[in-house]
Amino acid sequence: MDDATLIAQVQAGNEHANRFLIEKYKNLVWHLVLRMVDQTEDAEDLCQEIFLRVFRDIGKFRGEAKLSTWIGAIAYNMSVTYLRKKGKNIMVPVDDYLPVASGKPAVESADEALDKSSMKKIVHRVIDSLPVQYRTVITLFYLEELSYKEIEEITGMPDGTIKSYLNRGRQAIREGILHLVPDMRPELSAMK
Amino acid sequence: MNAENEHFNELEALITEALKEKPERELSLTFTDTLLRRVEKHLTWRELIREFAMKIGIVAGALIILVLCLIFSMRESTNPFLMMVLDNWKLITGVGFLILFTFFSDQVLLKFYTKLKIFP
Repeated sequence: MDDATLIAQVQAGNEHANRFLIEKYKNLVWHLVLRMVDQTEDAEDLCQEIFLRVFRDIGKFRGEAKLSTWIGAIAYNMSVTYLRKKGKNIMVPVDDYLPVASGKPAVESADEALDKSSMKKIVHRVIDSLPVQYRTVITLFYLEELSYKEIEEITGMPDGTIKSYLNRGRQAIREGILHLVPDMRPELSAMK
Repeated sequence: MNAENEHFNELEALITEALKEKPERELSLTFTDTLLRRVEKHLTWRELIREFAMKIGIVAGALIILVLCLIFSMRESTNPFLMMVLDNWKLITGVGFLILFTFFSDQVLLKFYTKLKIFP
Protein backbone atom coordinates (compact mmCIF):
# COMPACT_ATOMS: atom_id res chain seq x y z
CA MET A 1 0.00 0.00 0.00
CA ASP A 2 1.53 3.36 -1.01
CA ASP A 3 1.51 6.42 1.25
CA ALA A 4 -1.32 8.24 -0.54
CA THR A 5 -3.65 5.24 -0.38
CA LEU A 6 -2.75 4.59 3.23
CA ILE A 7 -3.48 8.20 4.22
CA ALA A 8 -6.78 8.19 2.34
CA GLN A 9 -7.81 4.99 4.12
CA VAL A 10 -6.77 6.33 7.53
CA GLN A 11 -8.73 9.53 6.92
CA ALA A 12 -11.74 7.45 5.92
CA GLY A 13 -11.57 5.81 9.35
CA ASN A 14 -10.51 2.36 8.16
CA GLU A 15 -9.33 0.52 11.26
CA HIS A 16 -7.21 -1.90 9.24
CA ALA A 17 -5.39 1.06 7.70
CA ASN A 18 -4.78 2.49 11.18
CA ARG A 19 -3.30 -0.83 12.27
CA PHE A 20 -1.21 -1.04 9.10
CA LEU A 21 0.18 2.46 9.65
CA ILE A 22 1.15 1.68 13.24
CA GLU A 23 2.77 -1.63 12.31
CA LYS A 24 4.66 -0.04 9.43
CA TYR A 25 6.14 2.86 11.35
CA LYS A 26 6.26 1.72 14.97
CA ASN A 27 9.88 0.57 14.77
CA LEU A 28 11.05 3.88 13.32
CA VAL A 29 9.31 5.77 16.13
CA TRP A 30 10.37 3.32 18.82
CA HIS A 31 14.05 3.27 17.86
CA LEU A 32 14.20 7.05 17.64
CA VAL A 33 12.39 7.63 20.94
CA LEU A 34 14.29 4.92 22.77
CA ARG A 35 17.64 6.39 21.79
CA MET A 36 16.56 9.96 22.47
CA VAL A 37 14.87 9.59 25.84
CA ASP A 38 17.56 7.36 27.28
CA GLN A 39 15.58 4.16 27.54
CA THR A 40 13.32 5.36 30.32
CA GLU A 41 9.98 3.79 31.06
CA ASP A 42 8.34 6.81 29.46
CA ALA A 43 9.49 5.78 25.99
CA GLU A 44 6.46 3.62 25.21
CA ASP A 45 4.00 6.21 26.49
CA LEU A 46 5.72 8.81 24.36
CA CYS A 47 5.38 6.55 21.31
CA GLN A 48 1.64 6.33 21.95
CA GLU A 49 1.39 10.11 22.17
CA ILE A 50 3.36 10.45 18.94
CA PHE A 51 1.00 8.15 17.05
CA LEU A 52 -2.03 9.95 18.47
CA ARG A 53 -0.55 13.19 17.09
CA VAL A 54 0.03 11.46 13.75
CA PHE A 55 -3.61 10.39 13.54
CA ARG A 56 -4.80 13.80 14.67
CA ASP A 57 -2.69 15.71 12.15
CA ILE A 58 -2.72 13.32 9.22
CA GLY A 59 -5.12 15.63 7.40
CA LYS A 60 -2.37 18.25 7.38
CA PHE A 61 0.08 15.97 5.58
CA ARG A 62 0.55 17.47 2.12
CA GLY A 63 2.81 14.82 0.64
CA GLU A 64 5.78 17.18 0.26
CA ALA A 65 7.93 14.68 2.15
CA LYS A 66 7.66 10.94 2.56
CA LEU A 67 5.21 9.76 5.20
CA SER A 68 8.08 8.10 7.07
CA THR A 69 10.03 11.37 7.39
CA TRP A 70 6.88 13.27 8.38
CA ILE A 71 6.20 10.75 11.16
CA GLY A 72 9.90 10.78 12.07
CA ALA A 73 9.82 14.56 12.38
CA ILE A 74 6.82 14.39 14.72
CA ALA A 75 8.62 11.75 16.81
CA TYR A 76 11.79 13.84 16.89
CA ASN A 77 10.03 17.08 17.83
CA MET A 78 7.92 15.45 20.53
CA SER A 79 11.00 13.74 21.98
CA VAL A 80 12.84 17.07 22.04
CA THR A 81 9.86 18.67 23.83
CA TYR A 82 9.82 15.77 26.30
CA LEU A 83 13.53 16.17 27.02
CA ARG A 84 13.18 19.94 27.47
CA LYS A 85 10.34 19.38 29.94
CA LYS A 86 12.63 17.04 31.84
CA GLY A 87 15.21 19.81 31.91
CA LYS A 88 17.75 18.01 29.75
CA ASN A 89 20.00 20.03 27.52
CA ILE A 90 19.95 18.40 24.12
CA MET A 91 21.66 21.03 22.04
CA VAL A 92 25.33 20.18 22.09
CA PRO A 93 27.15 22.18 19.40
CA VAL A 94 29.28 19.94 17.22
CA ASP A 95 32.51 21.58 18.33
CA ASP A 96 31.66 21.49 22.02
CA TYR A 97 31.57 17.75 22.40
CA LEU A 98 34.89 16.05 22.82
CA PRO A 99 34.74 12.32 22.38
CA VAL A 100 36.28 11.40 25.71
CA ALA A 101 35.07 8.17 27.20
CA SER A 102 34.39 8.29 30.89
CA GLY A 103 33.97 5.72 33.59
CA LYS A 104 35.83 2.62 34.54
CA PRO A 105 36.90 0.10 31.94
CA ALA A 106 34.09 -2.32 31.12
CA VAL A 107 36.37 -5.30 31.31
CA GLU A 108 39.72 -5.80 32.90
CA SER A 109 41.28 -7.42 29.87
CA ALA A 110 40.50 -7.96 26.23
CA ASP A 111 40.07 -11.70 26.87
CA GLU A 112 36.68 -10.97 28.35
CA ALA A 113 35.61 -9.11 25.26
CA LEU A 114 36.71 -11.57 22.64
CA ASP A 115 33.25 -12.61 21.54
CA LYS A 116 31.29 -10.33 19.29
CA SER A 117 28.19 -10.11 21.46
CA SER A 118 30.17 -8.72 24.39
CA MET A 119 31.85 -6.25 22.11
CA LYS A 120 28.52 -5.11 20.69
CA LYS A 121 27.23 -4.58 24.22
CA ILE A 122 30.21 -2.37 24.86
CA VAL A 123 29.49 -0.44 21.65
CA HIS A 124 25.88 0.06 22.76
CA ARG A 125 27.09 1.27 26.16
CA VAL A 126 29.27 3.84 24.46
CA ILE A 127 26.40 4.91 22.18
CA ASP A 128 24.16 5.41 25.22
CA SER A 129 26.74 7.74 26.73
CA LEU A 130 26.77 10.04 23.67
CA PRO A 131 24.79 13.30 23.61
CA VAL A 132 21.21 13.06 22.33
CA GLN A 133 21.84 14.68 18.95
CA TYR A 134 24.61 12.22 18.16
CA ARG A 135 22.51 9.23 19.15
CA THR A 136 19.61 10.52 17.08
CA VAL A 137 21.59 11.02 13.90
CA ILE A 138 23.45 7.73 14.33
CA THR A 139 20.19 5.84 14.86
CA LEU A 140 18.51 7.35 11.83
CA PHE A 141 21.52 6.77 9.61
CA TYR A 142 22.65 3.30 10.62
CA LEU A 143 19.61 1.63 12.12
CA GLU A 144 16.87 3.14 9.97
CA GLU A 145 19.19 3.52 6.98
CA LEU A 146 17.85 6.95 6.09
CA SER A 147 19.67 9.30 3.72
CA TYR A 148 21.20 12.63 4.78
CA LYS A 149 18.27 14.41 3.15
CA GLU A 150 15.72 12.37 5.08
CA ILE A 151 17.58 12.95 8.35
CA GLU A 152 17.62 16.66 7.52
CA GLU A 153 13.84 16.60 6.99
CA ILE A 154 13.29 14.86 10.30
CA THR A 155 15.67 16.80 12.53
CA GLY A 156 15.93 20.10 10.69
CA MET A 157 19.73 19.92 10.99
CA PRO A 158 21.78 21.04 8.02
CA ASP A 159 23.55 18.45 5.89
CA GLY A 160 27.00 19.44 7.20
CA THR A 161 25.95 19.15 10.83
CA ILE A 162 24.54 15.68 10.25
CA LYS A 163 27.82 14.55 8.67
CA SER A 164 29.80 16.08 11.53
CA TYR A 165 27.66 14.33 14.14
CA LEU A 166 28.11 11.03 12.31
CA ASN A 167 31.88 11.38 12.02
CA ARG A 168 32.39 12.62 15.54
CA GLY A 169 29.95 10.09 16.92
CA ARG A 170 31.84 7.27 15.28
CA GLN A 171 35.11 8.65 16.50
CA ALA A 172 33.70 8.83 20.04
CA ILE A 173 32.52 5.24 19.83
CA ARG A 174 35.95 4.12 18.61
CA GLU A 175 37.74 5.93 21.39
CA GLY A 176 35.19 4.81 23.94
CA ILE A 177 35.75 1.17 23.02
CA LEU A 178 39.49 1.48 23.23
CA HIS A 179 39.07 3.11 26.63
CA LEU A 180 36.60 0.56 27.96
CA VAL A 181 38.50 -2.45 26.68
CA PRO A 182 42.14 -2.15 27.67
CA ASP A 183 44.72 -3.71 25.38
CA MET A 184 42.10 -4.33 22.78
CA ARG A 185 44.07 -3.34 19.79
CA PRO A 186 46.42 -6.33 19.72
CA GLU A 187 43.60 -8.73 20.46
CA LEU A 188 41.22 -7.53 17.82
CA SER A 189 42.78 -9.63 15.13
CA ALA A 190 41.98 -12.77 17.10
CA MET A 191 38.31 -11.88 17.22
CA LYS A 192 36.17 -13.76 14.74
CA MET B 1 51.43 -1.36 9.78
CA ASN B 2 49.27 -3.90 7.94
CA ALA B 3 48.30 -5.58 11.18
CA GLU B 4 47.27 -2.23 12.62
CA ASN B 5 45.14 -1.52 9.57
CA GLU B 6 43.56 -4.89 9.93
CA HIS B 7 42.72 -4.20 13.58
CA PHE B 8 41.29 -0.86 12.63
CA ASN B 9 39.12 -2.36 9.88
CA GLU B 10 37.86 -5.05 12.20
CA LEU B 11 36.92 -2.46 14.79
CA GLU B 12 35.16 -0.38 12.14
CA ALA B 13 33.23 -3.41 10.87
CA LEU B 14 32.23 -4.30 14.40
CA ILE B 15 31.04 -0.76 15.14
CA THR B 16 28.97 -0.67 11.93
CA GLU B 17 27.45 -4.05 12.74
CA ALA B 18 26.59 -2.94 16.27
CA LEU B 19 25.11 0.35 15.04
CA LYS B 20 22.81 -1.50 12.66
CA GLU B 21 21.61 -3.82 15.39
CA LYS B 22 18.10 -3.32 16.76
CA PRO B 23 17.90 -2.42 20.46
CA GLU B 24 17.26 -5.34 22.78
CA ARG B 25 14.29 -3.66 24.38
CA GLU B 26 11.17 -4.00 22.26
CA LEU B 27 7.73 -2.47 22.31
CA SER B 28 5.22 -4.41 24.36
CA LEU B 29 3.09 -6.92 22.47
CA THR B 30 -0.07 -5.02 23.34
CA PHE B 31 1.26 -1.71 22.00
CA THR B 32 -0.72 -1.70 18.72
CA ASP B 33 -3.99 -2.83 20.29
CA THR B 34 -3.74 -0.34 23.14
CA LEU B 35 -2.93 2.43 20.71
CA LEU B 36 -5.80 1.51 18.37
CA ARG B 37 -8.23 1.67 21.29
CA ARG B 38 -6.92 5.13 22.19
CA VAL B 39 -7.14 6.26 18.57
CA GLU B 40 -10.73 5.00 18.33
CA LYS B 41 -11.64 6.80 21.55
CA HIS B 42 -9.97 9.99 20.35
CA LEU B 43 -11.61 9.90 16.90
CA THR B 44 -15.05 9.07 18.33
CA TRP B 45 -14.86 11.96 20.79
CA ARG B 46 -13.73 14.38 18.08
CA GLU B 47 -16.52 13.27 15.75
CA LEU B 48 -19.20 13.61 18.45
CA ILE B 49 -17.97 17.05 19.47
CA ARG B 50 -18.01 18.18 15.84
CA GLU B 51 -21.57 16.91 15.36
CA PHE B 52 -22.64 18.56 18.60
CA ALA B 53 -21.06 21.87 17.63
CA MET B 54 -22.87 21.78 14.28
CA LYS B 55 -26.23 21.06 15.91
CA ILE B 56 -25.70 23.82 18.47
CA GLY B 57 -24.72 26.16 15.67
CA ILE B 58 -27.91 25.42 13.75
CA VAL B 59 -30.14 25.84 16.83
CA ALA B 60 -28.33 29.01 17.96
CA GLY B 61 -28.51 30.47 14.48
CA ALA B 62 -32.25 29.82 14.25
CA LEU B 63 -32.79 31.36 17.70
CA ILE B 64 -30.80 34.46 16.84
CA ILE B 65 -32.81 34.98 13.64
CA LEU B 66 -36.06 34.50 15.57
CA VAL B 67 -35.07 36.99 18.28
CA LEU B 68 -33.93 39.56 15.71
CA CYS B 69 -37.22 39.21 13.83
CA LEU B 70 -39.19 39.74 17.02
CA ILE B 71 -37.14 42.78 18.00
CA PHE B 72 -37.42 44.43 14.59
CA SER B 73 -41.13 43.65 14.16
CA MET B 74 -41.96 45.41 17.40
CA ARG B 75 -39.54 48.31 17.32
CA GLU B 76 -42.31 50.96 16.88
CA SER B 77 -44.06 50.19 20.13
CA THR B 78 -42.63 49.46 23.57
CA ASN B 79 -41.02 46.12 23.04
CA PRO B 80 -42.62 43.70 25.55
CA PHE B 81 -40.49 40.78 24.32
CA LEU B 82 -37.26 42.64 24.93
CA MET B 83 -38.49 43.79 28.32
CA MET B 84 -39.40 40.25 29.27
CA VAL B 85 -35.95 38.99 28.24
CA LEU B 86 -34.19 41.74 30.16
CA ASP B 87 -36.29 41.17 33.27
CA ASN B 88 -35.73 37.42 33.30
CA TRP B 89 -32.22 37.08 31.89
CA LYS B 90 -30.98 35.00 34.82
CA LEU B 91 -33.78 32.50 34.47
CA ILE B 92 -33.43 32.36 30.70
CA THR B 93 -29.66 31.84 30.92
CA GLY B 94 -30.11 29.12 33.55
CA VAL B 95 -32.69 27.26 31.49
CA GLY B 96 -30.45 27.65 28.43
CA PHE B 97 -27.51 26.06 30.24
CA LEU B 98 -29.70 23.26 31.53
CA ILE B 99 -30.95 22.49 28.03
CA LEU B 100 -27.40 22.67 26.68
CA PHE B 101 -26.08 20.29 29.34
CA THR B 102 -28.92 17.81 28.77
CA PHE B 103 -28.36 17.99 25.04
CA PHE B 104 -24.60 17.51 25.51
CA SER B 105 -25.10 14.52 27.80
CA ASP B 106 -27.50 12.91 25.37
CA GLN B 107 -25.66 13.67 22.16
CA VAL B 108 -22.04 13.36 23.26
CA LEU B 109 -21.46 11.64 26.60
CA LEU B 110 -24.01 8.85 26.27
CA LYS B 111 -23.14 8.18 22.64
CA PHE B 112 -19.41 8.18 23.45
CA TYR B 113 -19.67 5.66 26.26
CA THR B 114 -22.14 3.50 24.36
CA LYS B 115 -19.92 3.41 21.28
CA LEU B 116 -16.92 2.43 23.34
CA LYS B 117 -19.07 -0.26 24.98
CA ILE B 118 -18.50 1.18 28.44
CA PHE B 119 -22.28 1.26 28.85
CA PRO B 120 -24.20 -1.68 27.40
